[in-house]
Amino acid sequence: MIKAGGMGLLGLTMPRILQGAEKRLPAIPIAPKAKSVIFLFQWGGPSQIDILDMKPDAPKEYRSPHKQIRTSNPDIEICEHLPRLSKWMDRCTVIRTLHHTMKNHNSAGYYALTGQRPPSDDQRLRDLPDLYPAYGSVVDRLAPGTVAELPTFVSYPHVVADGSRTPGQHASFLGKKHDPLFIPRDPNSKDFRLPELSLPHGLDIDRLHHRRGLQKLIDRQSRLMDRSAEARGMDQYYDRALRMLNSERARNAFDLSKEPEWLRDRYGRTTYGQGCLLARRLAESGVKFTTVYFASSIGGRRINDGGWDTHGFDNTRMYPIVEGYHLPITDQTLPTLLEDLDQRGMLDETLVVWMGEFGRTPKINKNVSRDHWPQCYSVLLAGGGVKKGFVYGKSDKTASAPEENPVTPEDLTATIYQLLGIDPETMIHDLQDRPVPISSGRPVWDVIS
Amino acid sequence: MVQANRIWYNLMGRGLVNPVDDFRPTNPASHPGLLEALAKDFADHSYDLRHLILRITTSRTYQLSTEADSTNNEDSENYARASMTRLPAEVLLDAAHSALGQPGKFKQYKNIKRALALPGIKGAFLENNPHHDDRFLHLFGKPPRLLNSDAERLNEISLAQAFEMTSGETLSTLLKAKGNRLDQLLSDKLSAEEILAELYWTAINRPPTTEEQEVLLQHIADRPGKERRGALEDISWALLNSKEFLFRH
Repeated sequence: MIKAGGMGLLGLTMPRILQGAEKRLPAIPIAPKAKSVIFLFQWGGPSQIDILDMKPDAPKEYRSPHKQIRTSNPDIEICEHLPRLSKWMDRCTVIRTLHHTMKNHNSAGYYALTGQRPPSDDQRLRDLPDLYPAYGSVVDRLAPGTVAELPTFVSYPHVVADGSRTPGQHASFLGKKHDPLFIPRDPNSKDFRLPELSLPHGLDIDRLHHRRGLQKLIDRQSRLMDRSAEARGMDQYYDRALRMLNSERARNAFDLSKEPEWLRDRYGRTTYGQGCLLARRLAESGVKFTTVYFASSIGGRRINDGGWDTHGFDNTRMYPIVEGYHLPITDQTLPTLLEDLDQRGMLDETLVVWMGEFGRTPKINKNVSRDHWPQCYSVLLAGGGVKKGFVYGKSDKTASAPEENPVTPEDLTATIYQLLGIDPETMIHDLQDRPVPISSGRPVWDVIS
Repeated sequence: MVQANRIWYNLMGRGLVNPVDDFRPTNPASHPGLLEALAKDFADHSYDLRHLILRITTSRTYQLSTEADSTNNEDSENYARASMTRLPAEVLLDAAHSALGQPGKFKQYKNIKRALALPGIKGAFLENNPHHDDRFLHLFGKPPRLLNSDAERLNEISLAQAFEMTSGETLSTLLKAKGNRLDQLLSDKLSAEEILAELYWTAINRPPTTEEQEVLLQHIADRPGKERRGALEDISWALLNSKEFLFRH
């Protein structure tokens, strides 16, 4: 018999206990600011101190060998090798204080692609269904796009991997139906087309419809669909597939040959460049979440190939690669994408996210390069309701740690969902059927205009 | 007990412990007495798998139909009726090949002609340029064997699968393959009725109904001469995409 001050349990605390058990009121719907997201994933980890968070006054062992240049935003200066981008900084928000503790590509990559902390900082993190889904899959589950013939979530052109496939690229426990439409093809190639939307040789859409009719005839006899929800689901997929195959809109959305040559040149005739162009085209057609993977490998070994992971191993030093490849291609593609969206009046409703899975060591290593640095890195956002010409968060003298306003990947995730009009506290059910929130962070309200 | 559960899972479509291989105190079997009895019986017969399979397949539970009525429609774990599940990837691919009389082809395993005989996952998961048969397996749920659990295989259905069957390479290659069953049937100079019956029995193990017979014979008749093969391709496609073919029922 616990005598805990008479009134204790029965008096003051009981109402609070009862309150806790009450159902939460349905959330007030959030008005979305962004109709779609273009997620430009910079696999390998771009260096913050060389690009968006330069520290010219830091000691020589730290600071970038590159100079800064002024931009259209007086509050920020960026790398001299990004002159075209500098003219667009008045439309971007830069967050300089992203931080986490995952030092490995696969664990950090998963964190970046899902906004959920991995169970361990394991480079061999296995892509198992107990891990969380990609952003786009969550969007497909909770707020799918409204164009019936187009998928909500499209990703291309590479599967990102470092040894093993990086988790966070598909729907995981949400189920295959929320997987992205993944296109493992080069948008820069002359015969770029979606295999799904291409009819086999000798078949036309009418014949496919006719075949579907025969299929329905056979199914009518057995009435197996009455017995199984799965069978009914499968049947619906056939209708959906046919609708998409029949859809001029779907076919057009993926047809880059419809873009003018000068614009294709402006984005650059590279896989990534045409990938950015495709992203604009898809957003325009109604695809809600497009992920463009910069490279399949973490890279850093060759010019013109691979991601941002320039450690300087085997004499493949960082700066020639960054100057000869990463920065020029970024300067060609990112401002072009922003300009293209802006000229079509789409920028205010399209959120562009440019980020990698971590930054790079503020102290230059003995290979005249930089290694992984998750403790403080930068992210660039534009459009879709973020502030124009804004810098959030301040890092320390050497861009090693956040000094003011640190932001976790969870917070960034919450911000993205918030901008899309999805409550970041919405629950989904994991593999063990436990309700879990889609983000365990809070939106960075200050970056939202 | 784990092995008994796995065999039960393979035969019944759902393990007594579900997900299969997820043995832990917080995930008890749906019928613990049955699982223990099966395990004991298995052990008592020197762990003879054939005995265990015989035991299960001769039971009334196994032989239940998947037909649903108002009393068992909602049931998913009490075996009031058999569960209707999509065929696993390898079985589906092999069945399609078999129905059209064509051997399979898998990168990395040159002499293997059936998906069920594949010794590993190299073709489907480690190959940069897989054959469409390998891609099919990957798409329909063949697991990469990263886990020591049969639950790694997910026989879910997806839009991508519907695309593969509708406009993808695997099925259309099979249908068009020279010398496949369709060509054989045509060269054997059988009547349309005989060909139709043959297609039905090979694919879904029953004769066509009156309605099917009427519509499909008309379909063939409307496409004479050179077009007849196309008509047979259409019918074969419909058969291989029918629920009777894709699902265990």
